Amino acid sequence: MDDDRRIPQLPRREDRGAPHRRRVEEAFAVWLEQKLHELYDSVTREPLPPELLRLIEGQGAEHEPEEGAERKPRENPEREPKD
Amino acid sequence: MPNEFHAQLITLLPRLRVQALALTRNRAAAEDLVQDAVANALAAQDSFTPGTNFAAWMHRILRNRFISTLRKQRDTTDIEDLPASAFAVAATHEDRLVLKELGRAVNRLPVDQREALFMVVLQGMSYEDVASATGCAVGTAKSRVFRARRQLQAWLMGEDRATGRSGEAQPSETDSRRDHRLRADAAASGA
Repeated sequence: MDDDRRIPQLPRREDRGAPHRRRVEEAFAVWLEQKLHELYDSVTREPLPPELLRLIEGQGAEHEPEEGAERKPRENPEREPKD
Repeated sequence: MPNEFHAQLITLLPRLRVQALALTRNRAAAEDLVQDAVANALAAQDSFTPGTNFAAWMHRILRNRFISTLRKQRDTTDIEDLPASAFAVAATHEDRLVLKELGRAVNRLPVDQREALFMVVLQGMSYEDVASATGCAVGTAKSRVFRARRQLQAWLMGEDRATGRSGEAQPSETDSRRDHRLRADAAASGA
């Protein structure tokens, strides 16, 4: 099916009322979602770097970031960084 | 044997890599960002409350790490990448062109819009989770995704309707030429 590979057609100029615009926006949103998945899902299928898995499994302490100050165990990394 | 925290982290890693790419637009920088964020998360795993939203918690860490790194590096990595593996499996030359065009347009979005768009569209996160992960109001998260879609539509479909901030990049002549081709394709398909 080729249809889903194409950008949705704009309404004709005389049709450009709010309902048509909304329809086009909805069609574009569907198309965009398909294409973004097509473009980026390949990244999620790539094998995970072994050093990352080792890090998580606790065998890769040497891979910690160099900025040791930011790796203090009790620091909350969720907090927005300060200037 | 990994504990539950580690298992959740490993499960989330593929999505974190995509989100890191949304933030950095650069494969090498994205890999570094994920690794640093994982290290931060492991160091702070005691601060995670089991049963709460792990993905939102982890995305906050990734985001904060990105902000922190950005402040130190000041755009030293400005090489934009697109996932080459996607082009390898695209069915036709035309498909590859469309994907490349979309990838370039996505990379031109303001980072906050691209980030929110990826979270909603690719990660399947709710607007509430996006708001929680990015520290903004739910309405702001919705607005970012809406503006990202509108801006991409404007660029890709040739509508002169910039919806973002002033000073955003405008479509180039090459974009316009390709818009014409894409519109012709759309008309031919009867979409």
